[in-house]
Amino acid sequence: MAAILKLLGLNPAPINEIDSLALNFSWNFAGFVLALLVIMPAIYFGYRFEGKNTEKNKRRILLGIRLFWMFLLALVVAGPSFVVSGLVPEKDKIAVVLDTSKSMSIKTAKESGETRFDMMKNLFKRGFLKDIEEKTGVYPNVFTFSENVSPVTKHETDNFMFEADGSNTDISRAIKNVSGNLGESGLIGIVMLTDGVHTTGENPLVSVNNLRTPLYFVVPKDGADSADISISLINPPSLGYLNSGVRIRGEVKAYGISSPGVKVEVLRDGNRIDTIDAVFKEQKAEFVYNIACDKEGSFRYDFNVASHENELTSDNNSAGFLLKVVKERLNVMALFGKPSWDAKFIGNAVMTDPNAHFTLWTKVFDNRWICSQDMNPQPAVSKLDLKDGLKDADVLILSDFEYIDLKNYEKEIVSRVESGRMGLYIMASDRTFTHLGYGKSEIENLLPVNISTELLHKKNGNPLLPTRDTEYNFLRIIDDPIQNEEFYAKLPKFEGLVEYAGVKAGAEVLLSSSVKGSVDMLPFMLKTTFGRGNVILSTGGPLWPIGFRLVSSNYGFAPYSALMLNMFKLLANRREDALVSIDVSSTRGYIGKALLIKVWVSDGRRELLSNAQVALSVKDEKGNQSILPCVETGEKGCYEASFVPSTKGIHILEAEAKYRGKELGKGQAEVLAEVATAEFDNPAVNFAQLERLASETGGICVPESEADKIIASLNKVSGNKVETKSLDLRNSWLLLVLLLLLPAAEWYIRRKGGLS
Amino acid sequence: MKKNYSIGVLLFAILLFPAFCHAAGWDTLSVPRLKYDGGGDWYTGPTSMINLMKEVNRRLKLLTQAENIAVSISDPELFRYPMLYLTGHGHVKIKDQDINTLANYLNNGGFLWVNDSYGIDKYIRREIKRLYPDRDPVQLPGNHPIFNGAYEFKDGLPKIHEHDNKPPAAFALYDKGRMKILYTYESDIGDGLEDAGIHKVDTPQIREEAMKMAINIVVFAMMQ
Repeated sequence: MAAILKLLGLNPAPINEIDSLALNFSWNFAGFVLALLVIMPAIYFGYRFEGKNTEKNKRRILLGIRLFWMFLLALVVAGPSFVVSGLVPEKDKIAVVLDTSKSMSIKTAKESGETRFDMMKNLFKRGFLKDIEEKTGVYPNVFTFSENVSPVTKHETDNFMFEADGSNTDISRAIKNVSGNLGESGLIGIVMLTDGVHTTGENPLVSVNNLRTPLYFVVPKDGADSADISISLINPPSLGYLNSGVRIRGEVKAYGISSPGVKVEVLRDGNRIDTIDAVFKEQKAEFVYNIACDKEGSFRYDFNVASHENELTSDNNSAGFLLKVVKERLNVMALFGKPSWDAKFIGNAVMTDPNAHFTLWTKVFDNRWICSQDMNPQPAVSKLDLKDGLKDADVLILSDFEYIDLKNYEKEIVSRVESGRMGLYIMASDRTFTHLGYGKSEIENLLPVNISTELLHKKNGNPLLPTRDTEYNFLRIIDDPIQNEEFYAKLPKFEGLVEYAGVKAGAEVLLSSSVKGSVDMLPFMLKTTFGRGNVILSTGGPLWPIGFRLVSSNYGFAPYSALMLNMFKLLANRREDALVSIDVSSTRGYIGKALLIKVWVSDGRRELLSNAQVALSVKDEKGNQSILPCVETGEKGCYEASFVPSTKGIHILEAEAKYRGKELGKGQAEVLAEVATAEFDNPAVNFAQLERLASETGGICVPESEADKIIASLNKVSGNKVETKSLDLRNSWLLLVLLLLLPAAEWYIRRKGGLS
Repeated sequence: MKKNYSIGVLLFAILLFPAFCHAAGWDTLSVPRLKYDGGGDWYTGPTSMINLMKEVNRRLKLLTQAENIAVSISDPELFRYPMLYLTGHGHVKIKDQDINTLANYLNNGGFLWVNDSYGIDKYIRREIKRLYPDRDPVQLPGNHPIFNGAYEFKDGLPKIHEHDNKPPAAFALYDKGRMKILYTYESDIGDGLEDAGIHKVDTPQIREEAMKMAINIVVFAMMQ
């Protein structure tokens, strides 16, 4: 095939071994054949009726020449090309990937203080990269990885300008990025210098399934008697209510420690207040600690375990959080369009908290309303009167309530929700929003769903947690996440669910359901924000059988009451009553990790303000102050900044806002920054997993002292890759010559025969 | 002709289907009567609760299950119903093993309305004492909100059926600030709820009074 191309004057380089050759037309074959079908008969009949007296043989020769020329011409016009496929030789490559996560800073020898990272530094100094180059003839492409993968320059590797400060060890991502970046063809191998802890992201054993490149691991080895003990807290709360309690769940893990248990010290603002005994079960001890919120204010809690001899790291021996205890003032107001057991259930759930106050208005007839204060019904009245009650309400519940009865209070409700002074909980009923008259009302804007269509599904179903590890504390009814998920799945079933036209942007599904709608599983509980206020919608019901029937179950009535009560506390949105307030995504931050800060600004009438000048500063425990640039967001009155803590301890955030030169006020919040301990959760070198990864891909895994073995096993791979090339036949000199020669030959024959 | 008839029935069913769907909506109210031991006729007045549920549906627009349902304390279905109705003549006895279950039911939000049909007074007081040994039922004054709910009764509990020429009285057992048991004595609202003609002395006016008071009790139970 190569000879044909050569004859035509076409060069298939760099393809040196042709696998396949195909003729292609830009008009396609059909176009070419159709062109011939039109041209050829025309030429033939043209000759036939030429009218000149020519010998039969000469006529045939002339006709043949003309037909062949026309064929070539049609060929050229149809855009002919040869598509050539074949192997192309490729250059060899090799990658060296250095783990720069924090676990690499763990000391391996107590006496010398040498860290895992130091061991890798020494390996580089000993000429590891140069040895690879000598063996393979290729200088390695060097990368660093922790949560991200970055290529590094020769200058950086020569001077080992790296720090072990990354927060994650994502081996999977490192392998994928490096093999994707360099391409697997001609890649001799990927040499990873890592301790393999604490692996996050995808399971690397799964991600190497499609890898054709061998993986080699150089692993720093821990001392023979190394040990470690770590403590972590599971989703500690940031807010507590005066005269109530919060429950803290934690875990202590031990490695290389034979003791049956450990004492956990509990400190409040640096002072020891208690000690817990944590007993190990398979090197792990779980503990629960109840904190009594008996004093208002912000408190720092730390849970410490004592350091052990030869411990790999002491960074994971302490875990802390900030707890803000606020005075309870939960006023819940419920408006029911008709008597309902849901009202009784919710009211009694609210009343389980001695600091809560519940006002229930129920419409019995058009001109007969009953108000129940703290579940004590009052004599009926002829008119609904919310004037005073609404002003004090932290949460408003609407159930089956007609818009016409609410119209006079609509503006106040919307304004209170928008300013964050009141949350809204809307319960579903068998009368849809459209039936109740909410279409095109201002209240409609507060809903997390689009109500242009509402379809009632009369189906029994269960509320389900969309993710086991929900970020909302009030949805964690049972401490154990698996049991918690089961709790929802085993609740007595609701009896109906409304499907809406869609979920509005920004709304999130708190609880899903087991009922399938027209497309997917329908949500059971949705949350959205309107300005600074929270709005939650239940799409199904009724709620009372779920709560009431729990009496005879294993868990009792209490957890379900707690779910409702805590949901109302979330809706109550307890911000300080300041014109400037700071919202922190979490009061717990990690060094090096960005934290989103929101500053809300409103005026004296509690109207949220755009175009305010907001200055946000942060002060650490040593008194160092820095300014955080604040940017106005699309949400009215909301200004955002990003804060990346660089030191441990409490950081005080202070926001100051001005509007048209006039000072509005100041707001303050606190964040406790800690060293991210994920890297130290399982600090022991994960040699077994790395060895398995190496053997699955045809590589080897060795301790750092035996790195030479890797160099010895690296082999050149004369890689080839398949490449496809298109060669335009119109570039052929032979075709050009034929196109010129054929008419010349015809002309010559005609001239000789006296036919021209 | 037969085919046309079938199509007609089908079309009729399709047209009516949405109406049936709505009628069987969620949160259906039903107040079952409580079965008890001791030989008393817990089943007396079988039409009273059916009529009450029909009127609650008509007047308050609540979805109701207008059936004569009975439930025993040991039945796990007991907890499906937040309100129970107990009536009869004569002896009322709750089994020892059921006392805790009934107390558990009441303590977790349940409500029990006891209607004295005649002659249960001393037995029901004894059983209430067994449920709540440290508490006694208290008589409700005429201005109690239960008499001014959906309907207004200026003189308190109405007299529906004459027994011993005694005035009607409503007694309530309160626990932790909530009314858990309402005992209507010497009034016999249950009789007044029955079908017309069963009790000849119950005029339409008397029966209406009984219905209004029973609705007040249901609404009150739902709001506390």
